Amino acid sequence: MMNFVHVSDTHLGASNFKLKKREDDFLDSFKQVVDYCIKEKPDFIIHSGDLFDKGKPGNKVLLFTVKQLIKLKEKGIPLLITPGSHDVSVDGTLLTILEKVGLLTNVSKPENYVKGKNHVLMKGEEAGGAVIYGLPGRRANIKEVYESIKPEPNDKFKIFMFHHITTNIKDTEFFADIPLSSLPKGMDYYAGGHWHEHESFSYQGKPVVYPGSTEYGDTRSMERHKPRGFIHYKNGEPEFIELNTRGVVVKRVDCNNLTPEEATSKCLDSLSKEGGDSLIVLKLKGVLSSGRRNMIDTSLIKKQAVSNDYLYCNVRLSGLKNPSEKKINTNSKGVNEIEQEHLRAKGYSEPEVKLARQLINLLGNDYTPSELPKALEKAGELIDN
Amino acid sequence: MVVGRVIGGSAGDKIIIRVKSNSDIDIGDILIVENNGVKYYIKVVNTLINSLLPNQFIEDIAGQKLEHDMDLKVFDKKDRFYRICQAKILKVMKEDGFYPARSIPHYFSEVRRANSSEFKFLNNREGVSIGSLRLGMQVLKNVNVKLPAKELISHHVLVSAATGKGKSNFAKVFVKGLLSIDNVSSVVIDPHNEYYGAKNIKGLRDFRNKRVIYLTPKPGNYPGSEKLMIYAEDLMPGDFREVIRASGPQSQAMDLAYRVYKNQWLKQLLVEKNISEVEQDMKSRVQRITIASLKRKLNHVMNFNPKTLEGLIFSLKKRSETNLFDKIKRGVHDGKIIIIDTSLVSNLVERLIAGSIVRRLFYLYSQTKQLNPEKFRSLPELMILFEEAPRVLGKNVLEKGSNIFARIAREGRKFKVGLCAITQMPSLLPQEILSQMNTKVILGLPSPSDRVAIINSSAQDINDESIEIQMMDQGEALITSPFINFPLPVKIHFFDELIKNNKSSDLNIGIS
Ligand SMILES: Nc1ncnc2c1ncn2[C@@H]1O[C@H](COP(=O)(O)OP(=O)(O)OP(=O)(O)O)[C@@H](O)[C@H]1O
Ligand SMILES: [Mg+2]
Ligand SMILES: [Mn+2]
Repeated sequence: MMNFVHVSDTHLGASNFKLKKREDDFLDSFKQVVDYCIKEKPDFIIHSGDLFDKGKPGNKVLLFTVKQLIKLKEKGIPLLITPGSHDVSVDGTLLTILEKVGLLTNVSKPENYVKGKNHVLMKGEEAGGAVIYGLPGRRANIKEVYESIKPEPNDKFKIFMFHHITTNIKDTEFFADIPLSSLPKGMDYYAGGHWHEHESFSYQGKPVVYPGSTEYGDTRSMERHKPRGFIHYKNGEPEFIELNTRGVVVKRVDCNNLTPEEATSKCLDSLSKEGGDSLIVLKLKGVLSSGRRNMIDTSLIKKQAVSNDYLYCNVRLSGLKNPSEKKINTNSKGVNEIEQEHLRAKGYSEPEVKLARQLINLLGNDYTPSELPKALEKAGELIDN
Repeated sequence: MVVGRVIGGSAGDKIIIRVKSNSDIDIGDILIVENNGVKYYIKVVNTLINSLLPNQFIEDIAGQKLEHDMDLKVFDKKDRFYRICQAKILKVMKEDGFYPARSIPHYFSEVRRANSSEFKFLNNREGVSIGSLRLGMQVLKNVNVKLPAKELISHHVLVSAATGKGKSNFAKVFVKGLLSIDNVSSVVIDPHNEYYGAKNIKGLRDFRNKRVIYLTPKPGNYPGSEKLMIYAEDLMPGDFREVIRASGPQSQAMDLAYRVYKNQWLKQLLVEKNISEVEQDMKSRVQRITIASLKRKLNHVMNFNPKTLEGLIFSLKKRSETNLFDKIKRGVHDGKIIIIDTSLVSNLVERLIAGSIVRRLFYLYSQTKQLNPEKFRSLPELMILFEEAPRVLGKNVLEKGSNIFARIAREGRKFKVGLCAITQMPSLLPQEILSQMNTKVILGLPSPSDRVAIINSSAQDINDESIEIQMMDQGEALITSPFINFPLPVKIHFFDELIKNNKSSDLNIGIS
């Protein structure tokens, strides 16, 4: 019976909000996977790409990774990987070096694609009674690449690793790379990477599985908060094993009709007394009744969050509008009209609005240095009148 | 081979070299001086003759030769008459790379020619091969120059030269090179229909690469060639604003029409409704005369046949195929090179097409960055290539109002969107835009004002190269960029020859 672990998109070296602790979180997720494997002893591990977050991770990240891989090697658990889009830098991939020192196998090394007359023969790597094929996270001519490959026949349990998004996944919006039907037929397990949320479906009766990433890469994914984990395939079934990741709270704070001070204190109130070292993202919504959104005291909120034992608080103001923005519907009006309404909304009198218009028209142009004095003179006249 | 010795100079300026009598050092040569354990890369910018004899004697000798045809033998001629050259220090090479020069080689340091391995760094990264290193007029065929395409793209490239010096050729070579780089895309606005290839013109189609898409009003049988057709229902008032010079009221009328008729606004305005009906639908918020002149302007641009409701490019019919803009966005996502043939349309229409495509792509990138940062990272670097840049980036154009091209010049690099702007007259571009274009590919530029504009806005000091730039022949270029170690003199590949040497384009699958 097949017994293997499938992980993907570990993005070692990634972080959020430039926090060292978040970088550690990404490393810790990977360590959890490794420790699980050492305990559960699968026959091998496959990784569908983006082991690292950058083609050239820092030495610290590299050292950590090597230590984890050595642990696996000492337990005799081979790791097979296909390079993801993030594993490659201008001068190749670090995975080749890790392969040279015997810590993993790059399934997608160039030797594994043998050009034939009408197609490219794709060779696999054997491990634990299975044969593992792969395509790396390149995107140029990707449809043609899928059309051209033919897996080398093999009687063993066949796994195909790939680092592309299939169009059938919901919410991929416009980011899908290939239709599901592009995948090579006749495999027993399709190991997907690049899509960061766990997904599984079937293709020709066989499982296609995206384990997803092992941590949350941005606030959008934090907000969606789909569980992070990896796959343990045993007894003929893929099982999703959830990882223990740091708590992340994303809260919408409705600041409609509040002053910046009121909005600030509403944010403070929305912090729980015991943050439990979790990460909190506050997304402010609505339209302020007065002031401007940069008058919200974000540093106070952040300080309070830390003293309430949160790891960090990210305050997002981009969904919050300043008061004058609310009355003007910019979709339906010309620039002149919008500007005038804006000024009226600010309480200027009609003659003032008119003067402002004239000045905007006059000074809103890019003047050359020689033209500028004239324009300024004219502006002076307007104001004097 | 020693070709000279250092006899003076200053670190901030030039070093002075006495040249060995039989060596053929010329302006443009790049030489090496090794001293203090580092290697100086220097470039000859001037040569002069000198002598140890007092001037009076030299004049006398010359006079004898001229007036009496006497050939006086000078004793130890080589020692007494010699050449001096001035060279600027390009960079200093230490163990781990290049550094700006902060010292100067000492008196009598040996000056020698560089061997080709000393230029290997030009070839050692994954980049786009654009030509061979050129020392003055001499081309080092075995020194391949590659440029780091991704960095270049997002920080903008300006290609400038007088007409016929090889701008389009360079651009074609560069775009062709992108075909071998993963995760980059380019949209090429092509007003002369010279990029894809046509009868008697070699182009990208000759590489038979599936990454190339060609959108043209008159598609042919070549693979990748598709019909360029824009449906009115996909256009919005914003697409017209920069192009038709709408007055304030006209602009407002367009917005109102869009609000009232939704995506049918053009069809309703131009064919379905007469002026009174439009006036009524807009609840008399717009004057008849405004509606009339707006209709006239829009009609002029759209230029469709009232019977078939179709023109060369635009259609007022209901769209039954994929939206052109979505097709282009999709292509960009997939790393395609998309060539838009605008050779058959007016300037005005070209700007409408280019602007509406480029604006949508820019928003795709900026929105994705804001709303979906993880996905943003997997979007390809995008290069927008366009000829005759002053038409959209010229001082006189930008004085009347900014546009999407200027916006990308200013902030595109945050969003991985870059411009490759081609121009004969860089002096028509505002200084601010010029200095945003971080990489400059300079081909022969005889006009002094254009040279000044380029030199003053370059990433590296090329004041000494002004004459070289003036003299450069077809295909000879000088490239300055923050992403290369020093200004590179290059002989650009001739595009037509690349086709000859092209081995059928293999799919590059594996990674090592
Ligand atoms: N690198 C090169 N090597 C050899 N010949 C070249 C090279 N570049 C250009 N040429 C020659 O110069 C001619 C003009 O080149 P090209 O069309 O690229 O010039 P251009 O600067 O784009 O001109 P225009 O201003 O008219 O658009 C080419 O047809 C070709 O014959
Ligand atoms: Mg040209
Ligand atoms: Mn990933």
